[in-house]
Amino acid sequence: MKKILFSLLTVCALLTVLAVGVHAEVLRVEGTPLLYDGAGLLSESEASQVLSKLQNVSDKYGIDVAVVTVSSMSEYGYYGSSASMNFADDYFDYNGFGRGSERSGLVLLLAMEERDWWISTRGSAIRTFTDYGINDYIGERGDVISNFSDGNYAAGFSNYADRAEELLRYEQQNGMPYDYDSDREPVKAFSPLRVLGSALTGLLGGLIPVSSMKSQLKSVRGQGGARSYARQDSVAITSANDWFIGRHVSRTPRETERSSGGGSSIHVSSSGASHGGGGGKF
Amino acid sequence: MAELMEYKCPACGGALEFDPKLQKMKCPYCDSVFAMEELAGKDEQLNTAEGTVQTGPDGEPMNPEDAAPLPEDQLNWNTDAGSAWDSGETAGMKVYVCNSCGGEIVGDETTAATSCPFCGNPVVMMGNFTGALKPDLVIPFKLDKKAAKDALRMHAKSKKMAPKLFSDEQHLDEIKGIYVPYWLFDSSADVQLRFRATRSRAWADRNYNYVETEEFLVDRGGSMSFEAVPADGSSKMDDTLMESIEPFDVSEAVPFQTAYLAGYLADKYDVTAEQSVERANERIRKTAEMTFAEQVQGYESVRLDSSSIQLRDSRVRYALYPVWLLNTSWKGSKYTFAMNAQTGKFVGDLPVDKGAYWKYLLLYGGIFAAVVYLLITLFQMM
Repeated sequence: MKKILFSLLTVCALLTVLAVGVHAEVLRVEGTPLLYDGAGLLSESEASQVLSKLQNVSDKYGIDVAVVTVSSMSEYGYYGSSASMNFADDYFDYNGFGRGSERSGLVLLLAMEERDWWISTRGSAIRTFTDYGINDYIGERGDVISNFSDGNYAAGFSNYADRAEELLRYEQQNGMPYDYDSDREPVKAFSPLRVLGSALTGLLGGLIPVSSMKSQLKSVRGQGGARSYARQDSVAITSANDWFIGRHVSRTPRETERSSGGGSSIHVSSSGASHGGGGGKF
Repeated sequence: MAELMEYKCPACGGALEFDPKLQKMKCPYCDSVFAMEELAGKDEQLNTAEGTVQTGPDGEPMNPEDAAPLPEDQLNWNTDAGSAWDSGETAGMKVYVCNSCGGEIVGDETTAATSCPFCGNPVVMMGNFTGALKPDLVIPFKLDKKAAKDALRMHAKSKKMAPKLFSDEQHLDEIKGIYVPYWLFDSSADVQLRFRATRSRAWADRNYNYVETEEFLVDRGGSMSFEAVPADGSSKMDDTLMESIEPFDVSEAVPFQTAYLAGYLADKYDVTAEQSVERANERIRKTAEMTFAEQVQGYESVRLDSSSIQLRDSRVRYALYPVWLLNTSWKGSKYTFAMNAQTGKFVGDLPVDKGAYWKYLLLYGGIFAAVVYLLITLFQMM
C-alpha cells in the first residue's frame, strides 16, 4: 500500500514539474531594453550608468549585452535546477534580443530569491563566450559575482560589461575566443590597481640601480685574504682523494595533467534556438 | 748622533726633497738632481748602536758628493720639560729643534719624518730609525701630490650620488704623503682540507620524479707560499683603510734609505710584529683554504668539513710603504681618503647626497613604472 502511494506521489510530482515547465510564463518586456531591473536593485542614477555602459559595448561590437534581474523565477513558473538557464534563454528569445542574422548577444540573469545567476549566449556570442570565459573569467575572477554576493549590484553589472567587452576585444584581436588554454590574458579595462601596482613595482625596481649607485660610495673594505701575495706557481697539490660514501634516492609524485576540454557547451532552448552559457549561485 | 737629518743641496744649501717622478733627490730651489746612491752614506749611523760616535766607514769616501757638511750634533731633547710643560702634556710627545731655522718641531713618539712648521724644511728623526727600528725595505713614492688630488676628483666625480663638493679641490682640508710602517710576512702553508660533497641526477617515470644524491668525502692537500703579506704597523692608521689600498708590489721595494723620506711624513711602528701576525695568518689561511677548495670540482655542493693549515718558514720584514692621505669635512663629519702612492689605487667612503638619492630614485622608479605598465598592457593585448 505504502509503495503504491509513494509511486503515485512521484508520478504526480513529475507531472506537476513537467506541466509547470511547459506552462512557464515568459517575462515580457517592451522593446529590447539592455537593462531590465525587475528586482529593483539599482537606483535611478546607477541604472542609467550601467545602461549606458551596456549600450556602449553592444554598439561597439554589434551584439546585445543585456542584464535582467527578477526577485523570483518561481513567480514566472520556472522551477528546478535548470530554471535560471531556461529563464534566461526564454527571456532572450521571446523578447527579440540579439543582433544580426544569428541574433547574437548575451544576457545576464540575476534571480534574487533563488540567488541564481546565469549568462545565456546566442549566435556569435556562443563562440566568443566559452564555458571557461563565462565561469572562470567572468564568474570566478571577474569581480562580478563577488560583488553580487556583497550586495554591490551596480559595481557587479558595470564589471560584467567590462569583462564582456574584454572577451569581445580578445576574440577580435586574436581571431579566437579566450579559453582555458589561451596563451594570453584579456586586456583589463583601465584599473587604478594596475597603475598603483606598476608604480610600486617601478619604485622597487628603481631601488636596484639606486642602491647599486649608493654602494659605489663605499670603497673602504678590508682584504679577505692574501691572494695578491701568493707566490706564482707555488701551489703544489700533493694529495687528492675522493671517496664515495653513500647514495640515496628521493621521489615525489608527479602532478597530474589537466584533462578538461575547452570550447562552449551548447543546448537548445524551448524556442528551438541554440544557446550557450553558464552560471551559478551568488 | 744627530737627532734630525736634513738633506742640504751641495749647490745652494737648500733642503732636498725626494721627487717621485724622477725617483731622485731634487733641490726645489736650484733644480739640482742627485741620485739616491749618492746619499746612502748618510744612513751609516743607523746601523750602529745609539750614542756611539761613528766616523765614516771605509766605504764612505767612495761617495764624493757626500761632501756636504753633516749637521752638528745637538742636544735636541727638551730635558727640562718641566719648566715649559706639565709632565702629563709631554707624554707621548717629543720636541726637536730645526737644524735650519732653530724652530721647535713638536712630534709624537712615532713621528719619524716631518717638515719644520716654521721654515718648511723636511727633516728626518734619525732616532726612530736606529738599530732595530731601521726598516728593511721602502717603496718610494711613485705618485705625487697632484696625482692624489686628481684621483680624489675622479673618485668623487664618478660617483653620481656623492655630493658635488667632494670633487672640488678647494674643499680639501689636508693632504699629506706618509710612509706607513708595515710588517711583511713571508710564509709557506701546508694545507690539508677535507670536504663533504654531493652529486645528484634526476629522472622521472609516469608517476614519480626521482632525485638520486651521491655523497663523497673529498681530501685535498698540498702547499703554497706567500711573500710579503702586509700588516699595518701604525696604530694611527685605520687598518681597514690601509688594507683597502692594497696590494703593494714588494718587488719594487728598495733597501731603506732615509733620503727617500725627505719631503714626506713618516711614522715608526707602534704595533709590534707579534701583534700583527695574527691578522696576516688569518689572511694567509683564508687564501690557502680557498685555493685548495677550488681544486674540488665536479660536484654540485661542496662543504668544508675540517681543515688543517700549518705555516712554516715564516719570516718578518719591516717596510715603509707610501700612502697619500686626504682629509676633508662635510656637514660636520670628517672624511678620510687614502691612495696607494705606488699603484694609484684610491679609496675612501663618500656620503650620500640626499637630494641626488631621491632624484635618481624617482627618475629610475618612474622609468621602471612606465615600462612595467607598458609591458603588462602590451602583453595582454598581443
